This record gives sequence, C-alpha cells and structure tokens, in this order.
Amino acid sequence: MRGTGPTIVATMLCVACDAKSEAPAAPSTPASSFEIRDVVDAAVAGHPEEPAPAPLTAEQAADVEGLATLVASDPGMLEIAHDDVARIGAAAWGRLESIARETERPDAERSAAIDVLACGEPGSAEALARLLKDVDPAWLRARAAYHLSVGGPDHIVPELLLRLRYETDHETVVWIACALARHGNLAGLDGLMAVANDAASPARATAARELERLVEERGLADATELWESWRLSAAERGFPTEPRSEKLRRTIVAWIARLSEYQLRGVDDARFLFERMDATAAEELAKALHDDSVYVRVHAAQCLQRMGRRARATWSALVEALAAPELAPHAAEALGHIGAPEAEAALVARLSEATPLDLRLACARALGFVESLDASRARALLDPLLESESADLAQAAAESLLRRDPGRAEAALRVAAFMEDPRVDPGSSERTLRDWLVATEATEALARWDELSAPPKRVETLEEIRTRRAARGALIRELARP
Amino acid sequence: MTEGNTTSGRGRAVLGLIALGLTAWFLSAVFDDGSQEVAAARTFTSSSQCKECHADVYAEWDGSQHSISWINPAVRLLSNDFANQDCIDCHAPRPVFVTGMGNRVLPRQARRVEGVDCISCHQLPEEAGGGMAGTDTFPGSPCRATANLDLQRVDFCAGCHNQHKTVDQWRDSEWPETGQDCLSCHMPHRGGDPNAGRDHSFLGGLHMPTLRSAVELRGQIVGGVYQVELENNGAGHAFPTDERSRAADLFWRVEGTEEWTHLYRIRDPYRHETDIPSTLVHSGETLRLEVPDVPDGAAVEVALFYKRSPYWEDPANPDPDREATLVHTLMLRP
Repeated sequence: MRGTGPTIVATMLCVACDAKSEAPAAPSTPASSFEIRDVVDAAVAGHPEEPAPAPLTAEQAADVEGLATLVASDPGMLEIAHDDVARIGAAAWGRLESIARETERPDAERSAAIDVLACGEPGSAEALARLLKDVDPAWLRARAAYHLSVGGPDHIVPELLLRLRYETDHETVVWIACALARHGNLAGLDGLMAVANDAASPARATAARELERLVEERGLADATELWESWRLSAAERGFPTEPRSEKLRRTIVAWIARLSEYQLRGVDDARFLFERMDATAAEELAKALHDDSVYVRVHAAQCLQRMGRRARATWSALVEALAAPELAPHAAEALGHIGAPEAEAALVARLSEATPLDLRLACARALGFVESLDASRARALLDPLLESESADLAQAAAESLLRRDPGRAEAALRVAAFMEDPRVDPGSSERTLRDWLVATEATEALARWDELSAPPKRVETLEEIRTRRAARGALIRELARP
Repeated sequence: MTEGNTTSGRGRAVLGLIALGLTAWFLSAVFDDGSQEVAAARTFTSSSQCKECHADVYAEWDGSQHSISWINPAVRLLSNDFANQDCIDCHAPRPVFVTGMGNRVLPRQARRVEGVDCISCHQLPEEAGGGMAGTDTFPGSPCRATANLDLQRVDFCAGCHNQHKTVDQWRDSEWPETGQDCLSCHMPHRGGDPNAGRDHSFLGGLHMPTLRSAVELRGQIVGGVYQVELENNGAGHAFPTDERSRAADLFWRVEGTEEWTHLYRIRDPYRHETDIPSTLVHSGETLRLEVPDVPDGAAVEVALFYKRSPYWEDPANPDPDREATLVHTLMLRP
C-alpha cells in the first residue's frame, strides 16, 4: 500500500518566504525541490512494538482472579492488590480487562477488576483505555476514565481523544476530559462545558466542579479563558519542550500511518484526534508532509490546518510544501489557519495568474486568516481578484477582504452577494458573515442571523434555503447601509 | 468509330471520375461528423463547458444527485454544512483518474459547488496526456476524448461508494455472477439501446422505479398472526445502502385510520451511534416480521417508506407521509 512509491522530486517555483518583506514577494527564487520519501513506514519501523508479555501461568491466572474477587468483597484490600498485581506484571492486565468485560460476573467483581487495573503501571493504563472503547454498561467506562484522570502515561492521549468522538455517557465524557487535562490537553473542555451546562445531565455537578478545578489550577478567570488558552497554546512557542514519551511518538506515528488507509473511517478518526492534539503531533505531521503516500501528505496538511494555532511551529514545513503540486493547496489553507505571519509572503506570492487555480484560491482564502495582513495591504492584494473569471476566486477574495477589513461595509455587501450566487459555495460566505458579526460584536444582528438558521434535523427544500439566505442577505444589507 | 469510341470511352472515364469525386464530396458533406478536423484542445475548469457539445448528457447529469452532491440540503444538514470536512473528499472530489483507479478520492479546492461533475469522472491526468475519458476516441475533439473502459468498472465507483461498503455488498451478493454491475442499474443504456450511450442521471434512491424494484413487500395472515416479509431481490447491494444517512421504515395502520405505527427500521447507524444495531437487509435476504397488537379481525395496511436522512423531526411522532417516500404498500385482510 505504501512505501513502494518512487522518490519524486516535485519541482516548482519557490517563494521567497521572508516574513519581513513588505512588497508582495514574487516567486523569484530559483526552482527548489520538495523531497518525497518514505517517512511514516521508516518511523514505524524505528519504533518497534514492545514484545507481548509471556502468558500467565495457571497459578498467576488464579491469583489475578482472586485479587478481583478479594477487592470486590473488601475494597480496603485494593492497595495490597495493586502491589500483588504489579509483581505479576504485564500479563495480568489482559486478564483483568477480560474480567471487567465478563457480563455474567457480578458488577462488584467487574468494577474491582477496573480498580485493580488502576495500579499506576503504563500497561494497565492501556487496558483501562481499551475498556473505554466498548465495555458496558456505561458506569464501567466512567470508572475506567476516572482512574485515568488520576494517573496514566501520555501515550494513551490519542485513544482518549478518539473516545471523545464516540462516547455518549456524560460521566465518562467528564472523566475523559479530566484525564486529557492531566496531560495538558484541553480538547475535552467543550464536552465538559456542555455537560456542566446541561440541566438534565446526571453528571452536571461533577462536570461543573471539575471545570472550576481546571480553571483555578491554571489561575484563569473562567472556562472561556481556559478554552482560549488551549486554542492559542503554543501559538507563541515552538514545538513543546516538555518531555514527551517515545511511546507517545510511536502512537502518533501509527495514527499518521492510518491516513493512507483506503477506508475513510480510520482516516476520519485520525483527522479527528489530530485536530485535538498538541504540538507534539504537529511536529510529526510536519515530517509526514514529505511521505511517499499522497494520502498521508494531503491529510497531514489537513490535520495541521484543523489543529490551528497549536500547529503554528510547522509554518516553515508548510511553506516548503507549497512547492508540491498536489499538496500545495492544502498547505496554503493550513498556513492561514495556523496563524503564522511568517507565511504571508509565501501566500501572497502565489496569488498571481501564473499559479494554478486550486493553489491561488487556497492562498486567497488563507490570507483572510493571516492577522499580520493589514486592511490596506489586503485591499491592494485582493481587490484585483474580485474581478476574476473564477467565481470561486472572486468569492475567496471577497471573504478574505471582509476578514482583514471588517470595518468596511462594502466588503460585507460583496460577501452577502456571494451567499446568493449559484456559482459558488454559499455556505462559505454564510460562515464568513457570521464570523464578521461576531468580530464586530453586532450582538443584536447576530441573534437575528442565528434565528435564520436551518431547522435542526429537518431537510429543507432548496426554495426554503434560498428564502432563508435572502433574509440573511437583507439583514446584512440593512446593517451595511450607510 | 474506334477513335470516336476511344474518345467517348475517355470521356466516360473522365465523367466517371468527376461523378466519383462529386459523390465522395457529397457523402463527405452529408456524413462527415467533423471528427477528422482537429479542434484546439481546451482546458476544462468547469463542467458547464462540457454542455457546449454534450447538452443532452449534461442535462441528464444536471438533474442527478451527483450534480447536487455539494448543495443537496440533506447532505448539508448531515454534514453540518460541511463543517464536517471529512465529507468533502467524496462530495467534491478530484478527478478519479488523477487519484487513480481503485484508489480513494481526495478533495478538491475549486468549483466544489459543481459536486461530482463531468471533470470528476472524465478528466484524465495531465501526466498521461490529459483529455477526457469516454466511450470512443476522438483525437480531434476539444476535450481530446479517449476511449477508456475503466469508466465501466466497479472500481471506478468504489473510491467513493465503497466508503459506505456498497461495492463490498455487491461483491458479496449473487449479482456479480449474473454480470449485473453498478452501470447495469444506475447508468443503463438510454432506451435500452447499447448504441445510445449511458444514462447520466444516475438512477437511484430518488428514482421511484429503481427504488421500487430494489425490494418486494409481501404479507399474509397465518393463524391470526399478521406476517410481513421484505425481500431484497432487486438491489445489487444492501437495502438501503449508503449506510448511515439512509433509512427505510416499515409502518402499519388499521384500514381506514390515518395514523401510522412504526414497525421496524432498516439502517446502518453512524459510528457514534454505538447503541444502534445495523439492520440492513442485504442482497438476497428476506426480513420477516410480525405486526403486533392488531385489533381482532382488523384489516391492516403495511407500508415501506424510504428516508434520505435518518432523522425524524419528532422521533416520538414520526410523520412518514410528509418526511419520507412511500415505496410499497400492502393490505392484509383476514
């Protein structure tokens, strides 16, 4: 599937990526090459799996069984059980996991098996994380997640993140969020806030308490500030300097390898968790931009884009990727979303007509998110594109102009017109206009805008959608009227 | 005479040549399709350009689900207006021939609003000389059409349609042995004529004859028990396929009453719906159900509805007449 592809050197015009450059940098540097090589397979081979533990002897199996029974009948024996199970070692984790899954067993024994697994060993934490996937009923998952919120190695973070995608039990969601927070990952925060704000949730009080604890621990004012701190984390820093385990890197690389799978299920899972990871994953994804699988390259760029500011340190790798034809549009969009001012010149250089449309379009879109681009320069660069033959490009320019120059009503009117233009994606202009209402703190208009949202879980007719968009267009025209 | 004859013979030969030339010119004028002329090769940036030469085919596609894969309200609802970017890969794909036959598709940046368009299926990679894949080769045409049988292969559709296992469902069925593949049902020859080209309206769940032919609804009353059977004897894959976003529901009501009672849902759930089992009726399978709690001696109407979105507006009180499409109905009389 992978690893057999020839080494391709994609040669294209390169850009002068001097971040300080004032004038739009022409693609003036001589041709440069973008190296394609085996990155992921080599990295996987460089991180061999640990050998499986020797199977339990009959005597050890009986001991493990006995420990679960013992703790079930006397929870006070848990500490002794932890010592004993640690002596038995790695082979015990699988047996305890099996006990927790055995539906015929009394609940107390299944629960005790989970408690015994929480003995502080890395392998036992992996077993707890596996239980999060499918053990029923939900309270067993919540118990496993609770233990992981107290202790566990960093390499279980990807598995915890994936559980956020599928878990429906509120209490389990709360403890997964707390387990992630222990490792500095606050991706579970929105779930935690949702449960804390859900009056009908049985886990509401727990969620509110844990949310308050997380806010206090970090000396912040409230949950919103906490969320922003996570969203913007690493924005001003490079790759993380705090130690990360080799096993975490191996897990990350294994997930990157899944980006090349044929079935999108695994790919979607990988994209989901990378979107929620920190700069450790960003560093590995940046390397994967050179992988010999086009799927790995493209999806790695997408993951960096979705990671946003946390992937800021990858800007130079992404600028380099602008020289790879099939990757360049995705790299350009990622450069916009990671918020790297250093990338501005590289993006600007590719607005010229000589650039393929896909890349030109991506650069025009990305520039809307580059905060270093001031309004007057944005106008100078993007105004000419408004008359482009490509409606997509004209729309991208209009939207980016509004993002960079939100004070100009005329820009909003132009985007509103695209919202009703059948040649382009109206959803993109709707998102841009809503962002504009938020950015300009037009609270009342924002409320009216949101009232014109699609009804939940009902498929509208095209006519209904057109009517709704026309009403939103009228709202924007009303706001923009001098 | 002889000379005269000779002269006359020469004259006839000349006249014959002229006549032959005129005939050739006439035939050429009447039947020449222009294929020998070399038109300038065009770069295709929008499927609307294809309309100039292929208006009929374009019109078929323009009414298809492929043409609205980006703007379809059901898709936009289920993808949260494509905030779920994972859906973009198949709903606005790069050309299949560019990502490669049998490979998964990748998303494109431009003209997404055109959905799965002419370019998505027909554009050949530049590295291979560019142009468009088609049924015949016309080297002088603006699109540099090249005959390519890959267009007919199941693997061509699989890059997108096997993401929801539809192609695997077909492979696991008896249909491959009969020679019936994706095109047989979804792109039949126009009017059944192999020389008329393939229908580009992509007949499927929105095409009532196709939908109705997928399954057969039967029923009987045995010993007072109202039995219903639904056999998938017409779809070359599971019913419904395109798991997750599609559903089919069986309802029943006593004759003469208005309100439907839900009997059974046929659907494969989304991955996050971990508590919902998959209940697809695979090709060749028959679903057997009993209608519960029928009033003694009542005549019962059973109906199969098809939904293009899995959700009911009010799950406690679904309104299939308004929210779904009636496929089959059946009356069970004691």
